[in-house]
Amino acid sequence: MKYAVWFVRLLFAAWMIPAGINHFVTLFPQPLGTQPLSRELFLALFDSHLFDLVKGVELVAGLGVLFGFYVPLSLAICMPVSFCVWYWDTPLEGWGSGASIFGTAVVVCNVLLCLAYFRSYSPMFAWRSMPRTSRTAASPAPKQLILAGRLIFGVWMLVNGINYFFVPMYPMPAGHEPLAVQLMTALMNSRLLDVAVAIQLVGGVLILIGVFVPAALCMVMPISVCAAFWALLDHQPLSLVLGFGAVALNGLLMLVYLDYYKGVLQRHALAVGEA
Amino acid sequence: MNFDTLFVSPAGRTARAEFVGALVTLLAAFAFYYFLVPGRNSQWVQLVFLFPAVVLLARRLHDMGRTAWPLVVPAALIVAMAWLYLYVPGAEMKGMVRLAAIAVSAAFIVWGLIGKSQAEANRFGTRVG
Repeated sequence: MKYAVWFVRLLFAAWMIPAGINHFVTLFPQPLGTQPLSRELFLALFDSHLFDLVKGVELVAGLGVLFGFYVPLSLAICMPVSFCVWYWDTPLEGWGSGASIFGTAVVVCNVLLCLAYFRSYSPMFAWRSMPRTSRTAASPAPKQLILAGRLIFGVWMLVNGINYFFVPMYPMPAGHEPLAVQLMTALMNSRLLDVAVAIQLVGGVLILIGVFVPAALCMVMPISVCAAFWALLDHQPLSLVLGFGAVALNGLLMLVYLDYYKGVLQRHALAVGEA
Repeated sequence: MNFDTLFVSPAGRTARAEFVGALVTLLAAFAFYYFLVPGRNSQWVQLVFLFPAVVLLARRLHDMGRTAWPLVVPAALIVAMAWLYLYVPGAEMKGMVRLAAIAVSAAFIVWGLIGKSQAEANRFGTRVG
């Protein structure tokens, strides 16, 4: 088993490192997309500089996986990027395209490696989790504060999902600045926004009912970061407050559930079959 | 034995049995890209394998009581070959450098496969495995 894990780890790291470097120092031509939707999404990511973040994550994750430095964390932060790579390569470029093979390989390698390090992730999937403060604090105030924060964040994500998919209650932000409009349009046209809001919806339900909360917070975090990034492009006070408010609340909640992320934050973790 | 001790940390020793398993894995990963993935990005990907390969061989040489410094020769040849293939594709010496890189690398691999481990502790650590 360990040889299979090493094989996948070598394939994944060796792919991610040049793919990440290539954005900052040109090593080979960057695929721009052959279909209208894939090209539109690529241009929106590139023009908005969100692609810098994507490629930075690929590079950091690739180096982490190759050099054995925070491997579970590297794999976790790379998962949204791997998913987007697959989404761009497969549904957008075409299920039968050559790019689809590479996109699928990237996401499959990422998933397989996460499974190989499942020991590190398993605490995040505790059915019921207890925030750090509520176990030690004598006063009930922190406990109630954490509960309030969790409920607010859960309802927020859930309502956003319901608003988008089922019952329109408020208009989805389209953006005011050209880059914000371009990015939001590309996300809507490619239906990647559907995926993001679906994650918010599922994450919101889990956070609200208190099931798999650490995993749900981890799942929603990339969406919160992208929302904040979009708010920066949009330059609107309300967008900025909501975007950065989501990241702050998401981050603070992750901090109070820090005990459940200790496995992910191990500097040197062992994969299945390793001793 | 784990990935980090075999492919990441050059300090320490790797016994022949572990070396064989790790080498086969590394060569399989390299062959995957060499034979199945075309294009310039694949060539850069293949170059990334140089680091784990050097670490793996360095630890094997340590296990035989040898310094790892001679690995500079195959590493330099591989880097030179990569440079020629990526940036000077018309160079006449490309084939020669490639042949030299393969021959020297293969010689080190064979040395690692047949070389005897030192039974006792040496300056690189105690025997493992």
